Amino acid sequence: MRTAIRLLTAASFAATLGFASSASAYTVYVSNEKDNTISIIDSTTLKVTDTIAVGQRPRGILLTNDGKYLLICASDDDTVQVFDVETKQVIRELPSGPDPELFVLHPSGNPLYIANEDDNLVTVVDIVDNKVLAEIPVGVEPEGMGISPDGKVLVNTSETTNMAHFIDTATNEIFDNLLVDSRPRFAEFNQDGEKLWVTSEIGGTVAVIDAKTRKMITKISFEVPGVQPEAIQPVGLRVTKDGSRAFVALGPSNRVAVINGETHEVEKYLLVGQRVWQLAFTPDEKMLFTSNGVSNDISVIDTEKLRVIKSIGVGRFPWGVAISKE
Amino acid sequence: MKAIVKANLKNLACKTLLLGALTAVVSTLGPGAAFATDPDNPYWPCIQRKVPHISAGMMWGGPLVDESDRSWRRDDEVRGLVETLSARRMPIEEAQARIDSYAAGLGEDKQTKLTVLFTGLLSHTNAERSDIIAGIEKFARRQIALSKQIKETAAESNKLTGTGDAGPEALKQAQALDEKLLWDTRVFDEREQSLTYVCEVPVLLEQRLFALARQLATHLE
Repeated sequence: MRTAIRLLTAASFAATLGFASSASAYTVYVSNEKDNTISIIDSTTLKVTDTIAVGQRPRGILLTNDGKYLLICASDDDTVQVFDVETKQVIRELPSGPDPELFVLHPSGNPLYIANEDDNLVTVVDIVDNKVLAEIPVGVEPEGMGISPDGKVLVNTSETTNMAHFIDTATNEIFDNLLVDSRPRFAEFNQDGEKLWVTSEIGGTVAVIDAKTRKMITKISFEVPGVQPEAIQPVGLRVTKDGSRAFVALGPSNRVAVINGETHEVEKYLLVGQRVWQLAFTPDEKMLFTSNGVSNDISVIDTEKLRVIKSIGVGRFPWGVAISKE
Repeated sequence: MKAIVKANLKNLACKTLLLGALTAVVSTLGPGAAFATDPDNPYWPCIQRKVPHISAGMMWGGPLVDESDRSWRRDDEVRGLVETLSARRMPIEEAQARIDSYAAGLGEDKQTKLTVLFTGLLSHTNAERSDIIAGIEKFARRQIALSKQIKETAAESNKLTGTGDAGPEALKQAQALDEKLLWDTRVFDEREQSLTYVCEVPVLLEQRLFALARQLATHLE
């Protein structure tokens, strides 16, 4: 009976938020950097259902293509943990190189490309055989990792060298570099593989790059009324599947910028939580989840209405967000 | 611990080793190591980034506010609320409930009144944070001065005993210097430990203001 009431409440809550109760329920995973935990959120009730202890300083997280495992950069343990989403336990570790922070999975589901900030390397790891396939020397303090939809081009950004390095995944060698603004943090390709977006935290800009010619198309700047420019620090970025919109987390300005994917104009700035860091869409792209490192919460954005509909308290210093495919 | 150290000092060989270790420790002190790494703020000792001022747009999605507007001070009720809500001894849930009851009692001028209240909270928090930030920087300067002093004392003591053929007078002087060195190092370390909490305060104030502003905003929609 109590369960029935709870379900009813959850359904009416979802309806109040404007989502049909038939909408898919996704599982949202959040890494809490300071608490060494993963918070698990139900996308229908928008409530934390579980908090699980993992390795030290969990930051970048992603789900494997089959949805069975959550990979966690346990930065201070110098490892990538494999978390079974069914049993909610860390079942093994991957060799990651020191201080893994962000990574990206090949579209085929294997291998995994890991940025090792301290070693100026990108480590290529076979996640099935648990072994390092290659180490690619890149610029100083590698950070952002993006991969083209066809899996042929890996892009790594290096924070100190201020470059986007283009790596051929067949040879694991850099074949081109592009200078971007100071402290590039994140790289993401459009689903059609035409454009590449790179955020620059200190530069305060987002570079939109022609992925084929590797030339800069434009550089987007931000201006939020009532916010000093130095607080505008672009970090996480996500582009919709159709490329019509990009969302950029602007760090300590506590805003997410909504960018028109065609004109590259900023359409709106949404006030979310403090020090907004990484972003993740639900697979239907109806909601965008943002990790807010200082206010210790997750903001949920309704991507159609462009409104923040909910704040969900999680652990301390939420960093990464990953969402199940179903 | 101090007794053990003193006993060790009686042995010249041990003393040389100890001084060597202390010198190694103090040589890492100073603006570059004991303190944070932000080159723009050499006297900022915290790991947390220095944010000297919180601007309205970082906290508030409501109507634009003029941060220099002091009219909130003329409204007794708002002024009282600003004081009460800003005080960290009041649990945030309680503060948020106070905002709810204040908003519930407002009429047509609700938007204006809540905006004025936000301006007051912003102004109050910025003033409090400025004082704390100035205090932290003053503290950092004192630590830098002390680390310099420790380095000098260690060098002086080493000079007296470094050759290995120091006379009784030189040894006596060196012992006095070593005791001073131990004391100063201890003071330095204890101060460093208290810094961890102090550095959290500006962020705690920022978090509180954001939580209050977010609560105010729920009544503007």
